[in-house]
Amino acid sequence: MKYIFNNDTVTRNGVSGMAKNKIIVVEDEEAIAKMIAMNLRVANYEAAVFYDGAEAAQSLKENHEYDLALLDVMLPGMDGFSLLEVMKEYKIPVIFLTAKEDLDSKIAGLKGGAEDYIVKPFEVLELLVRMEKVLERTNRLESRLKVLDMEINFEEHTVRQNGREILLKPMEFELLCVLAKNKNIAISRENLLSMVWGVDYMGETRTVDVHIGQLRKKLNLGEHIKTVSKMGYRLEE
Amino acid sequence: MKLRTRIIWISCLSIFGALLAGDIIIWILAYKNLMNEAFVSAYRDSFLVANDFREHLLLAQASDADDEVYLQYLLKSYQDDYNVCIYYEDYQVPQTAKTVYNHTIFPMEDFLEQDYRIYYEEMYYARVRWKNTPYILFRYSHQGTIFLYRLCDVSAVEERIGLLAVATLFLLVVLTAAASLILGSVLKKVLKPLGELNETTKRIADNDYGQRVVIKRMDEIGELGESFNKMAEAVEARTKSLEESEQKKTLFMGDLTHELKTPLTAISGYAQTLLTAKITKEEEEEALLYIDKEAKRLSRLSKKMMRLLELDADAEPELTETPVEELFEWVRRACGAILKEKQITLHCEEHGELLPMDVELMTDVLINLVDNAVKASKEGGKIILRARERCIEVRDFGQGIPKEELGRIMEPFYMIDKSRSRRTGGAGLGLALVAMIAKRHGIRIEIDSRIGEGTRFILQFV
Repeated sequence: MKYIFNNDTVTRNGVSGMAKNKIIVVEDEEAIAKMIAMNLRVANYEAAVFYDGAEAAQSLKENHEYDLALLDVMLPGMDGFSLLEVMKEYKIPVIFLTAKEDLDSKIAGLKGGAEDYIVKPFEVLELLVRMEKVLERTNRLESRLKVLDMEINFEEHTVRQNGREILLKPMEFELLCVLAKNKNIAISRENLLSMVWGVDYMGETRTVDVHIGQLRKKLNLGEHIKTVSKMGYRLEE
Repeated sequence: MKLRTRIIWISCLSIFGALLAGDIIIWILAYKNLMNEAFVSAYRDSFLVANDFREHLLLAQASDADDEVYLQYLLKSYQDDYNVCIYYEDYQVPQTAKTVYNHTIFPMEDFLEQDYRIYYEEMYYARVRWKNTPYILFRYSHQGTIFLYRLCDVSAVEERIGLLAVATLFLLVVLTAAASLILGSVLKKVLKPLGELNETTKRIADNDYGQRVVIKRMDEIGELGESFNKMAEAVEARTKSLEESEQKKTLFMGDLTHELKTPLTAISGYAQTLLTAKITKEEEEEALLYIDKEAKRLSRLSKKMMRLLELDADAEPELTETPVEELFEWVRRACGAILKEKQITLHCEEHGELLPMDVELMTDVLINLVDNAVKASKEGGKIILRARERCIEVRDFGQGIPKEELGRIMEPFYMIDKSRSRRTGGAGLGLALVAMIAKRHGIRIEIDSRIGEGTRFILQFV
């Protein structure tokens, strides 16, 4: 796992040449931890996984170059709330991932200084979006993202393809951002609609199809924006 | 209406009624008595007058005096207000009647009309009420032609009875009032504990189960208070036990949810990854393996849960005297695989003991205990299964259980080392199952454990 993960990092770094956001994941359930790591890698993050709270805290002493921490609450060694204090020392924003659904735990987590609180079982996409929001809030997100032959600048709202600026309508740009940020992950039309146009948007999923068509045409992405049957669209490298 | 008011009203009315009835009887008796006395005295006076009258008339007849004139003279000499004298030519013919003398305010006709009854020889009497005054009228007839009427006023009798009635009625009212006051204060004292009882009941009804009444009395109300307190105690205990079991259930449900969520998160996460993410072939395989593993874990969990639920709902197990040898054989067979995996030897030791048990359930117990022992032991270790007298003992030489955990290990979903237990496939229900089956058998479980030395589970049969 680790091997594949590193190998991939190297090749992709070679392609994009961009620094990745580093995430520390502390989760004692091996299955869940690996699942999260798998998705983080796909979504272009670098993940370090720990199964034990105390071990994680220990490792931070040597290396605390993380942009975000995903913590379980009930952990062997050291529980999530204590670990949150450690994370705060290194100014690492924290998202709790926990099966504890009661309000008290949520309040304890959020009041303790966690950025977000996600209850298991969660949607992978939701996790990724929330992570992105936290990174955005804490200014840890790169303002530029290189995907394929495109360079997206979130601050300037511009897209350059091979150095040439491509003009996109605002919604087309937003759609491209969502796809690029979650590249390699299929997103349903409904999700795209709410992520780009907002939850309150009452439009039809046809709107998404129309905009996808525009993106494919303008950026010549016919090959790379894949229609995943029954699931939606995915930007592939 | 309040009980106290009602009791006072009813009591006062009955007291009043009873006293009144007594009074009325007294009044009647007194009236009769007084009337008799008045009658006798009136008769005596009248008799004296009549006697004198007769003697004078007899003398006068001898001296041949003029009758009418003489009579008037004679009657005046009595200086009596209530005399009437009537003279008949012939008594058989009322028209011949002639009033000789009338010193009353009533006319002659009134005297004649009365219905006289004989009292003694020539003396007749009648009771009359004229102008609202009671009189006794005596009539003396002298030789059938001269009648002397004497009117005796007996209104004094009624006056006295009236006075008596007023006095007794007054007394009656005073007595009733006094009785009501006394009764009221007594009732207040008697009913006060009831008020307290009521207050306490209300408070208990408002879920304040710790409330008790303080009634220090030796009567029925004291007994009631005592019984009430006993009831409150029982209710409190019952409520507490219900609350506790409710809490336990909530805890259990919470733990169960947690245990369900963990594999669910993994399964749904991997499924979503497979569906949406572009991943390598190896990763795909890994995801599928984890889905399979976590699904199996869920199924194991549900099986154990079902077993627990069954046990909970089942009737009492049928206990039959079973040779321990047979039990051990079942366990040895069931645990063969896991023992082999870690190269652990299982020593069984029994001396032909017979113990009352449901073999199937007891096998479950031992399998769970041996399973735990295997998990605690190192590879190539040893586990001893031993029966002696009325005990069965499962002993391992593994890592032991920390003292502070001993009290909780029988709870459902309790795991000492969560991540290790999960990796070894535990759901934390094994010992809960053991505890439940043991409870059904009436078996006491003792745990003797030392860190680094091992653990002994001793099942003490009754």
